[in-house]
Amino acid sequence: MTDQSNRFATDHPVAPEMPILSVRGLGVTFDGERERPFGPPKKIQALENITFDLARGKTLGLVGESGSGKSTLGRAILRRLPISDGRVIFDGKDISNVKGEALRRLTRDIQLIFQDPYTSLNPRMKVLELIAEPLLVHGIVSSIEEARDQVGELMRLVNLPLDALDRFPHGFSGGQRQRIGIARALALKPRLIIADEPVSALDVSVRAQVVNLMQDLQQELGLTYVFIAHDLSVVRHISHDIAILHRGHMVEMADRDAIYEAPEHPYTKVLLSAVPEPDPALRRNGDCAPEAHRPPELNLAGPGCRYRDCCDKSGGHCQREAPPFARHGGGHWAACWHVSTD
Amino acid sequence: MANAQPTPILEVRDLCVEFDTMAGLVQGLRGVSFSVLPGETMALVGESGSGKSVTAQAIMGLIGLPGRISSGDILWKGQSLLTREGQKAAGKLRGKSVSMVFQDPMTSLNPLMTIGAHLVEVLRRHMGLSKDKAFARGVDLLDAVGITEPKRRMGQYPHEFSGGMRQRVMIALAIACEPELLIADEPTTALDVTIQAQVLDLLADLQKSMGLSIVLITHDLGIVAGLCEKVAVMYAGSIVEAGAAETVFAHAEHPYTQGLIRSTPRLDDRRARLVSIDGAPPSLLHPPKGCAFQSRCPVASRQCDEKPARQATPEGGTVTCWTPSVAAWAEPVDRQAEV
Repeated sequence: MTDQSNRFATDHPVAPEMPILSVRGLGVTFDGERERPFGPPKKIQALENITFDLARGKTLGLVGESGSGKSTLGRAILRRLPISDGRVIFDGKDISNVKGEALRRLTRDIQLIFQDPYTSLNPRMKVLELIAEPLLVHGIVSSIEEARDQVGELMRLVNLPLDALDRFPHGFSGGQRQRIGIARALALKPRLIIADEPVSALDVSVRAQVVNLMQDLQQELGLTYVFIAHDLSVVRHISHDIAILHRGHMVEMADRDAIYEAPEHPYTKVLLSAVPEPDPALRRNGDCAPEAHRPPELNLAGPGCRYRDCCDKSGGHCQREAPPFARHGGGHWAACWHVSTD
Repeated sequence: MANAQPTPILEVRDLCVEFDTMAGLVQGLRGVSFSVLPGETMALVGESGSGKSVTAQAIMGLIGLPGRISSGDILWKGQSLLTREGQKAAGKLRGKSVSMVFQDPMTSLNPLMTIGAHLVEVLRRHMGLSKDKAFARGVDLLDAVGITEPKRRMGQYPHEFSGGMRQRVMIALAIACEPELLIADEPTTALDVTIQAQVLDLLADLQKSMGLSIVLITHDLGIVAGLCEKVAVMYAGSIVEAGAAETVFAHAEHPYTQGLIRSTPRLDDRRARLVSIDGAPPSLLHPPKGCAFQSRCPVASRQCDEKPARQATPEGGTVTCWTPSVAAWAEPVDRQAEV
């Protein structure tokens, strides 16, 4: 690994046929309130039966509203949350039950980029310390100063000026701070990066900078991303596939153009119509607000489709039985009784 | 701009705001002028630090130390709010005839007060209603902003409301005294998209039914088109371009506006790459002498070392640029097409 440009590239053989991440029937439950003192806590099913594959070097966009379970899914993949059902397979190995040293090693391969660059960086640490911290924690370097060269290289990757090394994060703009966060995530040469709303807190003009940087890094280093977002406006540009989450269920998954041009699930259509159109000439006439749409409530009682109470197509079948997450031609998956199956 | 038209409800003339900080004098606003006619909706668009919120605070009289209005004027129906008599009148106006919706519905409500108590307080203070009347009016207001079971909701605390519901409560509070002007400072930034669409629709409905004037402050051009007739684009403490929303979007004159429009992601855009405006806005501690945008402008020339003057555009707007209407940004390279 003497080649400078590839210093942080993954040094593993690329096997396009084997996905780097496979999630099979994943479920996460949280303990809710107790109904009576010392009684058993109510179970809240935050994620249920999530299944997908993510190919090496690709990006999966995970989209859903607050409470849909998108961040929970990211954290479950990182193994920051106990998994109650199903398996997470990373690079061919089942990681749903690893612990101790193996779990620690896993964090080198899977890293996280946080949403808010204003609160996720310790204001008392210099940029050098911030970026070198993961290297130190994993024993790759024995002192901060030893990491200076490596950190400088990371700074170059994310287009930060080298003289920023000895400054504190408060002197940087939101976009620059998010670059620091990205450099920190890249320090351990991960193969999979979970980006939890990395641009939601940024200004529109800066969003584009960060999204473009992430795309460049993906090309240069062969990274795989899970890109979490709460709306459909930015994900199209970065994702190869997009999955829509609703109340802890995956309701639709397809390649990015299919989601935008031929959405199948009614919830996806609502999300699409809710994105404001900047050009007055192209603005849809009046129908943009999804009037009937209500925010998701967890633990909707009874069987049946989890979207039934928000859906105008909801019929008897939707009340009785939950639709399976089924394939509808090509790579298009959806969980709805109202779309035709092949 | 304002002559030969009805008296604007609000006029801001060459407003400058300074903040005397430890590091030096920060020029938060550097000569902002605009006017809002009765029943008109205007958007102030800009990045963080461009001065859009400072403008709102100045209008609401919320500029506190170390900030101060150093020059310029704010006129309400032709009367200055900054003179001695004006300041007295302004105290009565603010909260009643001019009200404001803040960005973060999570922190702008008092967690120890019920929703009803918030509403009753405002109605009693500004409208002089009795307790019972204020309560009844509060119920009507919650109903008007689309909150179901308003009577029961009056007795609940903010934590029992979702983000979108809290923002509705904030709007109910803001329209409680039947204001003539509503200033909405990033009212939907903290909300989910579907809820954002609902809140924007609600504002548009209220604007129509009450004849409100609205000043919408946002960094997202996307939400402007749905609600506003006029747009003013701010950069580094001044307005660089203003005009009717349709014309600004169709023929953006200023390179910054063009860049903003192009960096807004669009659903029908199949390109794999977004256009970005590289670099960061200048520090307002030592603002550049010439055009503030020149360090990021792709078509900047030597001329831009001098401050450009504001000029009218053929479409009836204004722009502050030496070379307006030049297509400043190259078509982005489409990686997908290259491969």
